[in-house]
Amino acid sequence: MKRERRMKNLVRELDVDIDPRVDERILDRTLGRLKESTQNPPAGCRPMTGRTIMKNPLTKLAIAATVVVAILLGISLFDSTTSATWANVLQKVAGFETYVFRTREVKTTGPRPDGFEFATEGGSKRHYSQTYGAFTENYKDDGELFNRMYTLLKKKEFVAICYPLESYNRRPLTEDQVREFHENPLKDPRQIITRILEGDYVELGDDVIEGRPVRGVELRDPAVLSDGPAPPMDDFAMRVWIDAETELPVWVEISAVPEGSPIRRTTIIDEFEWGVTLAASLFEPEIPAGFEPEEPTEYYTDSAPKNDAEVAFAANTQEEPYLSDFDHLALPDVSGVTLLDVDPAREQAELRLGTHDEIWQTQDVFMADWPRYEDVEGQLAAQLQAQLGVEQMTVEELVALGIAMRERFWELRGCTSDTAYPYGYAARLVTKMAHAQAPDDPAVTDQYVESIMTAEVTVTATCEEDDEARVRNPVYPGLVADLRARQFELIKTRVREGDVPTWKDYVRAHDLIIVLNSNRKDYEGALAVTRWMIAQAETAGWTYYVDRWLVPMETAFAAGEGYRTGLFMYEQGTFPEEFRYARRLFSFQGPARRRETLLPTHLRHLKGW
Amino acid sequence: MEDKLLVLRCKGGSTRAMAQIYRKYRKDLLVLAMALLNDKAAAEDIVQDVFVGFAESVSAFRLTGRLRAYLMTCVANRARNHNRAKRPHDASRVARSRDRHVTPGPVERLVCNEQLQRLAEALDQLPYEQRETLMLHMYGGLSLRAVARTRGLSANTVMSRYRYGIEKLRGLLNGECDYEA
Repeated sequence: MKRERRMKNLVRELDVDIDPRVDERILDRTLGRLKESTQNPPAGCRPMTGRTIMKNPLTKLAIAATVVVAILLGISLFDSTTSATWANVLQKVAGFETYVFRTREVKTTGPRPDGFEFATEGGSKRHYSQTYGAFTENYKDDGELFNRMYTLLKKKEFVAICYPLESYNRRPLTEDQVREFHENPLKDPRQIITRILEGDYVELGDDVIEGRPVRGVELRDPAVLSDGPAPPMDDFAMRVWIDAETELPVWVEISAVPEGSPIRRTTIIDEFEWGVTLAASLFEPEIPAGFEPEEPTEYYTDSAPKNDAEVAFAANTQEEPYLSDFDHLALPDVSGVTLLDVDPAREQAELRLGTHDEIWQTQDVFMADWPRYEDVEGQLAAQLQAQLGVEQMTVEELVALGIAMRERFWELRGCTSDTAYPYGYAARLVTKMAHAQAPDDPAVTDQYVESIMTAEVTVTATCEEDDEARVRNPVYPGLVADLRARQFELIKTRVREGDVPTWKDYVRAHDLIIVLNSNRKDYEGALAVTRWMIAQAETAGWTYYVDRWLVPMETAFAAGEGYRTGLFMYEQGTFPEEFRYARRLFSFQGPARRRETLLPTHLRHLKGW
Repeated sequence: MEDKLLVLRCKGGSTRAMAQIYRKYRKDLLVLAMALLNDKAAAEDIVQDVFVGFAESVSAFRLTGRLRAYLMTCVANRARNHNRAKRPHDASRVARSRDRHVTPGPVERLVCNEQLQRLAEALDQLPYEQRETLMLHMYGGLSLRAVARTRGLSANTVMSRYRYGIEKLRGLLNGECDYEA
């Protein structure tokens, strides 16, 4: 073994001199090809625009649909009797007792002004029978079967078998659920087709999908899908494409951006097999041996206040949301401000990030190129003074400027940008100046903490398997912990004088627990703050958190162990976008549009979460 | 910078990140290619092909393991194809070995001292499969199981090649020349 090791070491010593001309040639060609390939990536890598192309393994059999405008082929696919065509479609689809189709959902945040695009994908194959019901197979992104779901009309029963969990769930179908099965457009896409074709649709013309000539229509009225008032939408479209020869639908899509949402959701239904024979045995679930019935899931939805203190705490939370103290200020326009010689208009590379790993790694890449705040603070201060006269500003003016700078930071793509950091750093600097003027004003300290967190994450290189390789940001156990500790001392003094602590105080104290626990590993300090919060719970009205979080935290800290909990909830559909704002303390709010979507956990009952 | 981050940056079109990857691994890849082929021009072409191919497919590239191991495997694959294509027209390895003192081969460029010179010559005399296994494992840092996977061979076959290769290399380095290829 020793000789083998010696030989291995010798082999590793092998070296070579590289001819500089060859070196230059190879690098030139490599970079040239990179430019070509990233400007014209393969179809599978292009951002999803218009008709969405999927990479879900489910689609491997049918590859992604390629749509080519038929007019390029010089083919006239239809005669002028188009209304007759669509009437035929309606008649035909209504006549099928059975059919099979595939459904996929894509969520993206693009295209948006900041040029960003996230995507998640999922897919299912559904077998529909008017007599027997539905049999659906849902697949994960890696192509693995996730579950099989049966809606059994004859037995009036719903069965779901979850393969990764080796569990199943059986429950009776109510009459309402049976009715919904026949009427819900997403369960029976013929309803979508009918509603589009009966509505005020617009002809889209001719296309080719997977080599087959097709013709499409589009309807942009979201009211068509809902029986009640239409949900508010920033954008909405439903499209149907039919095969030119068979006059049967081959592609249906619903694309929607709910009002104020950064997420576009597109549902695509394709791979139709109309009138296919479906054996009765397909609707007889086989539960594999050893699969266990699912335990009922316990949700903590019962957060409604139960006593006067809880009612007051909930009311205070709604009336004075965290970080709202300066909402009344008019923000200055900072779009023309250029700092640290960084051109904010510089073109940014287009990114498409689908997982938290990709988002965090990309953030790490960009942030690694940013100068450190400490290294540019002096230069930044001089530029802000020269351009905006910050030294003459009041606390409120500085805070308003800080908020405006933070918003500019997010407009420029935040931590996935080469050009945003001067604004994040400027927000930190001006709120630091405000804090210097009003060191004991907790609302100003909140702004300062928020500004620090804007351009600083707690830890980078999170993709490293080795925990030691991760890089921890010293600003959290240092400056941020000190700021929150000072606030905590002031809160305690106020409470000793008879004040009732508020939701904002809860957020500040909770932040302190987290920085002491996670960033400083000071479990004793975290324990002291936690015990204070438990002691205040009944008076403050935050008893909702006591048994769920505060007591388990106390137990963990007393045992010298770490423990983490959250403060705010966000809608499930905000992922993976939400990962952009992670790796900070739970009090972190981010851009104004995100702040509006955050719900304090003890108010979850307001949204039924 | 960590490889996964560099790859991500390349996906966004960063030539700087690609240049960093190139500078980080070009020498390793060239050493491997030269050790496998003993042909400097061919080795340079293969390294170029590997980097150009990587740049071409980086948009769809998903790094699941180590980038160095991936690039090493690419070089080995191309070198094997090159070797296979060239073999019928090429002089036997025995003849090339014996002629080396007349026409110094590029293998000399691999080394900078006498001991390494002997190693390079000894490597050149190993059968291609053994040389490839030794280099991917000892120089490329791939486990023998990984070598087996990339070659579509059983782990036992690769381990045998490795053992025979080590024995032969040791013999060659000790002056026990064996020109059987």
